[in-house]
Amino acid sequence: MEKIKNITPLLKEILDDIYSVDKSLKAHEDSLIIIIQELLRAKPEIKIDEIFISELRAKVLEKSKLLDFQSCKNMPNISWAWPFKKFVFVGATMALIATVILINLPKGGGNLAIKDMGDNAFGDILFSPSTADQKSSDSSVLRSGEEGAGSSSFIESTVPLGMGSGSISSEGLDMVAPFYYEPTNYNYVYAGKDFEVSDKGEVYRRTAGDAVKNELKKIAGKMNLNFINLDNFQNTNINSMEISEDREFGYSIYIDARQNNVSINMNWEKWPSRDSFPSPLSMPNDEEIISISDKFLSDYGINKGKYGKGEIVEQQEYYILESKEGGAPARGIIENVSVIYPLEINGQTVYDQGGNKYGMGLSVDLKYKKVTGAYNIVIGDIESSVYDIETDTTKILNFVKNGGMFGNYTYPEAKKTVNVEIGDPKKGLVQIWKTEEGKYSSFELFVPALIFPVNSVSDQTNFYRSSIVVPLVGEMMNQDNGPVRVLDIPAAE
Amino acid sequence: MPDKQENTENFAGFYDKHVKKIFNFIYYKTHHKETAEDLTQETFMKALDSFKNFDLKKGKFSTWLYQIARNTVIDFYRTKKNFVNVDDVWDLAGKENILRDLDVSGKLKDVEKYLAKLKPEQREIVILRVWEGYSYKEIAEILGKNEVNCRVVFSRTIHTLKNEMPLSVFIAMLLFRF
Repeated sequence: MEKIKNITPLLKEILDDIYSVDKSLKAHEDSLIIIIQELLRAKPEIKIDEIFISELRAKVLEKSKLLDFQSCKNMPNISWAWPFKKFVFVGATMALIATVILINLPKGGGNLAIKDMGDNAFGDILFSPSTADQKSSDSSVLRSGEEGAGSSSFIESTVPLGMGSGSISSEGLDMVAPFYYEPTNYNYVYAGKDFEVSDKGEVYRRTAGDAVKNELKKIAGKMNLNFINLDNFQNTNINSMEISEDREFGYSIYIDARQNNVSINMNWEKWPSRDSFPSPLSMPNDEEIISISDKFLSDYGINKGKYGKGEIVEQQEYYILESKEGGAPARGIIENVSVIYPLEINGQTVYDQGGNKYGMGLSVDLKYKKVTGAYNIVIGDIESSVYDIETDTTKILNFVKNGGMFGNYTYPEAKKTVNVEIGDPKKGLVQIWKTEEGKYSSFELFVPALIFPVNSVSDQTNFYRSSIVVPLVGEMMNQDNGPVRVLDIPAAE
Repeated sequence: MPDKQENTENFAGFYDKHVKKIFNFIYYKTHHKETAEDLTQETFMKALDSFKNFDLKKGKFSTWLYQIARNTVIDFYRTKKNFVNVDDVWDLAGKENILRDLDVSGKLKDVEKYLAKLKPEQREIVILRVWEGYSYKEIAEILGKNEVNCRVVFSRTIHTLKNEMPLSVFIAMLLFRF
């Protein structure tokens, strides 16, 4: 057959979707193109009568006036109240509110500038969960089904939104008390195809740099506070600063000069207190939420060049509230949705240790349709160093079977074993923290990794992991993350 | 709690957002403009009448609305037209003299008999993907299904269509279209 022409973007998208399910269909591409093009050609042209639309609108709205929308089932009939009626600014040691502060931050431009530091420049890279800073990775809370995560049946947002994170607080309703977690063992089974890994890879380190500190230092030098003589303090720096907007729906900007990090939260004094949930009828869809986030970044000149496109963070839609009076549990509507802009370094996506995309996060309020917070806005550039990569796929798969970076807690007394099917891995970078030797401070590394998706679980109860992450840098794979055994604690004599 | 005025404003926004999508959805199932208008009206009125039955636990409001639209079309054919076991106009393809817009009949001539053989769910997914250009996430919300499942069903349906169409049809399409 003659080569088919006129492959439109929609047609290409549809073909890519089909091949993502069954690659073998690519062999029949010409036939598929004909079918899809015929379907497109056969699409009826629909002419909607605008008069009909507006007449119906009038009828529908007239009828809707008679309704009590709160009467729909399980619509929570509770008054929403912010957990904090009063609040206190935290952050800056000085009570400084500036209307305009010009801070010359390093201009990142579009892509990250990456500086090669030579081989093994960042020292030994070992994984230590205690140094992992989950607040920096807000794509979602770490779900650890094996670690007794049954303490709650809802996903908490780890967004540090300042005062409160939008959880429902109401009269007569409490969060569900932790329920008993049945000891369960998990058997990870790889069901994907064979794969290969190249023997060298680049590890990246985010540079702290002094750009922000230097700019804030200039401000410190110009300050004149009557109640204290700052000139008598030597070599002073401003390590953090909070700036607030004095307007309705204003924001507070928190600048951390130590970590070269900026976060933005709602200025609590300037946002209306909530007296109702967002209506399920008016909730924006995913496209609108992303659009709200994109516009916020554009309005405030926050560079998106280092990140991929914004994505909605999948999260549990409701969380359960139990009535104190013993009534039937109600379900709450989420008030905020998180959007993640995944960090990308040299074309690779960065993930957190739970396998979720890591990057700049925004929180969008569904009632006001505004961004309420933005965090992990990274300033500064990246250094790179080449390291040896683990190429032994048997060793990699054993690491997966042992639960990946967080191991696999084995209960000797467990009566239940759940099979977890793991799929084909994708390559990426995993974010970890490394403590500086001899110091309390730490720095961020992005290490080559394989992210194995969880395809299916034989019993989903209390299992929340979506991926198993395997960092490929040699030293990390040599750490013992084997099945953890409970040690018998000898009885006191 | 939102007051009644706020509720009405919210519903107005909801109506504006969904009315044309619901109309299109019904039109693809009836192929007749006036019928689609009537059934769209009936869908929104039914939604308002049975609002108390909407259970937030079971899914999104938009998904519920699409279910009402689907059931309204089924009722139309089975109750009003007395066609037993007919879900929509596709089930009547080539069998009955039914009211359809002329240009639709002409356009669908070549593909109709193949689409008619599909299960309603398969056909809905294909129509929503190819004719409406919805993402699988949107389709999953409309049909109250899992996104991955919709993607797999679509892929397999296209494969089925490929297998159903004889080679002669492909050649004819190729010769006359390109």
